[in-house]
Amino acid sequence: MTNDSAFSVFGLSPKFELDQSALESRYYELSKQLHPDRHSAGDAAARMKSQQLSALLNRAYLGLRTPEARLETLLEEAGALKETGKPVPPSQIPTDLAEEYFEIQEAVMEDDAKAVALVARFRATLELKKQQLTDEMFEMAKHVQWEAPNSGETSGKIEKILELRRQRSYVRSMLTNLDNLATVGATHG
Amino acid sequence: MADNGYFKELNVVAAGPITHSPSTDTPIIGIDLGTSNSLVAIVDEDASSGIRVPRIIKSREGSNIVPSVVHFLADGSSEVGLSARRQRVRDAEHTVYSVKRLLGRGAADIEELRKNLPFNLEASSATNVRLQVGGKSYTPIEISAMILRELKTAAEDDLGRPVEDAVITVPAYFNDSQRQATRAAGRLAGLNVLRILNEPTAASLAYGLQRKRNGLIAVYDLGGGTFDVSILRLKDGIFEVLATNGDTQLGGDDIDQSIARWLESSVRSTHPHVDYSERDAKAMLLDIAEGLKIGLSTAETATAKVGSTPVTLTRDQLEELTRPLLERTRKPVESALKDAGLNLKDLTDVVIVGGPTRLTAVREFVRKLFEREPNFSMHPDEVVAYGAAIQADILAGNNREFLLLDVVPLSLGIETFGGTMSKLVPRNTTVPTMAKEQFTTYVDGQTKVAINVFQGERELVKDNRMLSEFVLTGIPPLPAGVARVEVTFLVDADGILNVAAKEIYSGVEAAIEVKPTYGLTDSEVERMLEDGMRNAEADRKAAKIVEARNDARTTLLATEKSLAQVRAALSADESQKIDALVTTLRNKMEGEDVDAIRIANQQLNLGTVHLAEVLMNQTLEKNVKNTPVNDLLKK
Repeated sequence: MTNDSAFSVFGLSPKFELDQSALESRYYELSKQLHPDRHSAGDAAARMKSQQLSALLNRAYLGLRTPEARLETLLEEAGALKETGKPVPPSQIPTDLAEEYFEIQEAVMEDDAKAVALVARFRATLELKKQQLTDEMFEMAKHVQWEAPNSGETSGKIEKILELRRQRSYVRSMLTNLDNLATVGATHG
Repeated sequence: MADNGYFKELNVVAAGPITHSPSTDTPIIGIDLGTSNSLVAIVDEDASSGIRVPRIIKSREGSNIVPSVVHFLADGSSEVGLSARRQRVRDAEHTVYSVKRLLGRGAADIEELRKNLPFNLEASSATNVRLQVGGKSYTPIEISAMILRELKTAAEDDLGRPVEDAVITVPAYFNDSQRQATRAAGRLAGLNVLRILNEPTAASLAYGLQRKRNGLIAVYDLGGGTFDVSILRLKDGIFEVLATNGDTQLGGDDIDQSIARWLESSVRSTHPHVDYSERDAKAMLLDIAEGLKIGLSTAETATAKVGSTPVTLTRDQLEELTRPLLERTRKPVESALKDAGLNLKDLTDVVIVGGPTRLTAVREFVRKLFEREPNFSMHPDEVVAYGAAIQADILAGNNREFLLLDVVPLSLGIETFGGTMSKLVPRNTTVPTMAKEQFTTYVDGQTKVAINVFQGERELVKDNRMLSEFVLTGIPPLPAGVARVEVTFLVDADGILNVAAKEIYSGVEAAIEVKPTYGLTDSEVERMLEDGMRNAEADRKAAKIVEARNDARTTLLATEKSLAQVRAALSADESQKIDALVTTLRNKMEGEDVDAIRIANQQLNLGTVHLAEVLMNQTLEKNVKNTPVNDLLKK
């Protein structure tokens, strides 16, 4: 764990589940000590240091305050988000979703009367899928030994999370496309 | 510093001086530098209760508010405030107002600004707007500094001692350039700007001081020229801003503009010959519009005369005129709530701030928008100034109970390949905040790297606002791609960006050259300050000459008087020498050289020591017979 770890700033070991209100209290307490407002009478160096420490504290808190941010932080700190140069596609594209998307695309382009309802229904399906993937990721994240991300069993779980994450990003881009499609449909009509 | 094992070990890159420390023992004032009106406030101890309470400092004209209006007089001097405001119609050509709308704005904005402001605006360069007034041109920073100087003087008069330190408020949605311009105006006014504070946050401080209870607060702040909405969590003295949004070009001014347009169309049939786009007519219509608007905050109808034509405006008509403007506040409110991760029903308080919120139409709109009764128990014009004073008190170390945690309103990023924006600091990140990014070279031996910094939410940098161009210099010449420059972007507690860079391979600190795209560079402000000091220097020099001439005159008078009495007792040689010294001094007095006057004066003084002795001897001999004067003096 490096010195820059968001968790170590709060004196915590890396873990997905944590006591949200304890974290907030600790953040407020540290803010009261570090914030530049509390160091305005100091010399230039002390003031600069307070800005920097406060900045680090705020960054760390940002990385931990929501489960979503926390998972990203854990993956990042475990070295799982290193850019490989090319985006990795999900290994299993949810084919049923892809097929439905193309059908809707066709309906919108042909000004099908049912298009609006189809888009709305498909959006709901996608939102549900997104939520399911998120829940699954979070559940998995609870059982990872984040202190030792490179051990065999752990790295397998992290790989699984990454795969869910890729699938979710696929669903997300589908949602964006659907929005664009709806706009096109609206201008057509 | 905190006793925290982690923070003790950190070694962070220095990014240069960013904030100022308060001067010891001088009061810190809080300033609300508004589009229409400005106020200055201070927190001091209540003599009877010993409680520290904020109060508004009265202007030199005896009112709580200082209209943010500057009037330039024929002799080159200027006046600020109510007296200047009265000249808005009478001497529209030499009166400047709503200058806050121009702060931190550049050539790209000029067309839009010209539409609403009847000033001679010009883009002196791509990076600055200037106003032409009476043959001279001014930057909005200079005009703002005049207003700030007026407030500073009012505070000094009230407190009976010099004021150097201030907290100045800005709209939360002000970008980096607008914040920098505000800070520069403060410096130009001779103020040490300890903090740039967001207006809705300031309002929440004043509100929190009053209420002292935990909750989730939305502040709807519609000012003279800007609109902000901030969502805050208030918990045990911590004011944590969760999200902010707004529109820096929307305010009460626009309501006046739309009433003025309505007036114009309603009187056009009776005054077909008047050109209402002309400056004086426009100023007059705006003035009438404002009067009608104020009238309607207390009455159902308001009447006025345009020339000889009477006009009547009803509340319903006003509501119709303002609705399109108010509708523009809906989206920012929704976005702020969404960014804060909250629903309307989560809010415990809705606070409305700003002069225009006095209008029934505005209150009604806010009530519907938030689906609840907003809180407007406080004076909507003064609450921001109160908050600024409270923050000043916090910075002075007198208030350990409250702490503000504010956010950066707009995302900050850098231009990457293909003109896309790579976000380094997303909007609504708590400040101070920091981001690090590595850059490399593309050519062998390259020693410079240019980085363009943008602010905004769009994907492509061309749709966002360019803040500055950083040029990293002094990179050691290495093969392409070997040099690694790590740049640290620090957004300080004022929401202003600071940058530091280091070359990792060699450990060399790269120098940074910053060219702000808008407003003034630090060195430009420095130069203007120096000009100001040079003027002061000239004033001091003039005073010195007057003083030296007066001294010389005194010496000359005494010499002439003495010579008249005792010339006969002097040798011809001595008499001649003294005459020569007198002539020299007279000649030097004609000139401007202070030192030359002083020297000639001194020489005449020395040359007349004996003369004085002779004179004294003569006087003494008359009074004390037989006593040699030298003996007498020795005793």
